[in-house]
Amino acid sequence: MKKLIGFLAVLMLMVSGCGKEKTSNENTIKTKVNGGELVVRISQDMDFLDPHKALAAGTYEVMFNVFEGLLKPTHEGKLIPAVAESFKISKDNLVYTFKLRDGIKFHNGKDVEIEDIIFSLTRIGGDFSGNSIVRDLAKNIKNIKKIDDKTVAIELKKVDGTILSKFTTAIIPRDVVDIEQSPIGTGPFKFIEYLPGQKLLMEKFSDYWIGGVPTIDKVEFSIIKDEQSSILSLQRGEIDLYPRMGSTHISILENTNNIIVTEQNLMQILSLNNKVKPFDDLRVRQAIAYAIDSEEIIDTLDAGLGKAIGTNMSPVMKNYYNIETEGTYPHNIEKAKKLLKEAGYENGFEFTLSLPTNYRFHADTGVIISEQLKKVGIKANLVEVEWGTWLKDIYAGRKYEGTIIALDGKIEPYDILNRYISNHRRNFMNYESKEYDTVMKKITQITDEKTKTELYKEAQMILAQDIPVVFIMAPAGIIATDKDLRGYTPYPIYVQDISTLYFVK
Amino acid sequence: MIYFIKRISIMIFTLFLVSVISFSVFQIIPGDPALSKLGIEASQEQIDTLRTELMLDKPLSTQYIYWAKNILKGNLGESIRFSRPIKELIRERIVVTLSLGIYAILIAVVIGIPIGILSAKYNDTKLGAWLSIFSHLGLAIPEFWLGIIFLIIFGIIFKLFSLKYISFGEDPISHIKIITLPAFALAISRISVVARHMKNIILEEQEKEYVITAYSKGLSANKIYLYHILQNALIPTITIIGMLTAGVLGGAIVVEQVFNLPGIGTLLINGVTTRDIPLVQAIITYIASVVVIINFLIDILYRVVDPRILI
Repeated sequence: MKKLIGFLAVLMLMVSGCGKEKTSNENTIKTKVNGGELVVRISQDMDFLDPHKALAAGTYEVMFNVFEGLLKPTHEGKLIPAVAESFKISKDNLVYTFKLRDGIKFHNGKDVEIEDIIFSLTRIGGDFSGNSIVRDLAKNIKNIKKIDDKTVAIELKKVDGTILSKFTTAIIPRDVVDIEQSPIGTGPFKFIEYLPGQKLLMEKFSDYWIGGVPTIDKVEFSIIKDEQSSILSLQRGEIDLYPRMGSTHISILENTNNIIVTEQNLMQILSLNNKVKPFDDLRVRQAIAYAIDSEEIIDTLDAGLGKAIGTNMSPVMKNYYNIETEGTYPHNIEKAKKLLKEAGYENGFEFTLSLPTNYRFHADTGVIISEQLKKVGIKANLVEVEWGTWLKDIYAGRKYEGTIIALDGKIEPYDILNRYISNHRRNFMNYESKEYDTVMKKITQITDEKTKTELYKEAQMILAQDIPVVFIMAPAGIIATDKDLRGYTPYPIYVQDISTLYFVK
Repeated sequence: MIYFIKRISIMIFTLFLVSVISFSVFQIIPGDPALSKLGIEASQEQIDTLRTELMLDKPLSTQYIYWAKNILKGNLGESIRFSRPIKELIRERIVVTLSLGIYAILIAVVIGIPIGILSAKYNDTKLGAWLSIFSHLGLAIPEFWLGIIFLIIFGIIFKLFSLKYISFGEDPISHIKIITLPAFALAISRISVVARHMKNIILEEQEKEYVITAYSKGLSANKIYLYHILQNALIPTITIIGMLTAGVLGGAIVVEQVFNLPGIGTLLINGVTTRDIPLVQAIITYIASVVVIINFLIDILYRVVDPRILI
């Protein structure tokens, strides 16, 4: 028995020393390889392969490589023509005319025709239960007119300054009966096979409209729920790309893999239910904001890499981000106590903080926040909630006092900020502000980019001061890749662009 | 004949109870299958449409009767989460669980029986005491912990083990390599079970009169073991293997999760977390049927082997 314990102890020591392996000589010049097979770790399974139905960010992240819309988002957060070659907007901002790109093909080898565009945009109308982007577009289309074999004009019911980003809606072939079973698009990779809960396979589309793209031959998106197993596979070289990895693993992988640190379009928040006492009192919310020290959370949980934020926008949205919202409520225990006293809670109060169990990061944040709030006399009772329950009771049912979650950003700032509109169905914080609603309404009625940006900044400032929820941080995006993988391009949205990647040797 | 009818009716009643209980459990735990599938971006209309499609708005009894009718017709229904026939999903994954289970049972038998014989033979010696300690230890170690330890030792330190699943069709050798560790993690406690049963049976047999007679005839101990005791001991051992099956199925659920194998176990856990009622129902009923049928066969086998048993 003693011997056995000794053996195990030796093993443990060996384990702790296993991260320090010698890496290959860095100084050798490596050359680009054409082709190759890539394995990407993803944690979520697909919901629908039908691009008009898919709601999960995790599905879009993968299928971004298969489907394209008339327009397509770039890594700079701009929109560029994809299936369309160019487009014109009429003076009254009601008619959008798209010209079809010459020689663009679907994965089944057929040329894309105007009829396919008309089919795709007609399909989403009526009672089609599509995702939010698709629905917003469908709701506003008055009619679609074929001008000639290369041109189509789309007339809107009303002016919408945010409509352009909705034209990223996937264009699919009109003759494919079941797009769910055979997802055919125009993207750089074509779909081969999907095994639910296991993996999704794609291969290079050699007729892609951008010449010489992509480089990689085959991609496997491997669904591995368990983080530890994923790290192990990465160390063993069975995974080449691990997006959105927890920062705690950096030290283990530093020597064996490339680590890329980027900003993410993600806002971690402490959501407070504004309809529940005492959170309906602005002074209480302000007190909590003063009591919370974001920097401590960032240093402890995100290796000091995340960015503290003061509003519901990530700094990654460079053109729209209102930097003046930062530090609206700097960490200040005295001010917090003073505000609590004014609000009539001199001795603090108790509330239930619900934490989703499937996100360790948020659960850990909850623990730190509860410690920070103790210093001003507020007692947060931590309750762990399983994800299915979180969705039903907290997000949909709004039956909660406080919770911690991260909201993911979109390419269109409006879609990030609209959650806080009083009657919005995703407004699970129950925030109500006439001033905010007015600014957001104005945004939809204008198309001038400059004025819109000003209004976005104004909306962010209202949130920063009103503090319906406490904005904690924009967590850093950490990507671990194989030592020989190059060309990773981070996006301000939840996608993995495989077309820019290549191996070196 | 009456015995058979009694057994079969007990079996059917058990399955009915299992299906009712698993159906009811979902009513008790919070969560909504439609919401779990559509996620946080879905609109109320979408959720309502899906709920209607899935008959979630109908009374519970209606849902159950509809489901049971389909099951009796051999139709397992469609998974909510994957929008695919459950039959297909099970067919894709049952191979993994079966190969893992059979492998584990093989290991348990091949290693367990000799250990059992040895510990019976050397019952009162130091070796016997050691064997007994190890078999207790084997029983006490939970599969998931063993799995994790195996991963650390063979996966990280010695790099002998891959976590990337390869199906039998793709590459049989790699497939067997991959399921070796999980099979061992699953088998360790079963080795102890087999060994202990084997030991007890042999010790019992040793006391019997025919053994004493054989000794008095001057046969060597080894011969007596080989020709008399072991032959008589093998029959109860067969039933032990039957009993192991249920445990192995349960253990496989945990082990698959640890080793990330795409088997029935991971599918079941996936189904529970996404509140995929039809999927979980189908799998639980499926596993329960297998266990109940095996138990039924064991009872019958006992009866055939030893007509004195009256249950």
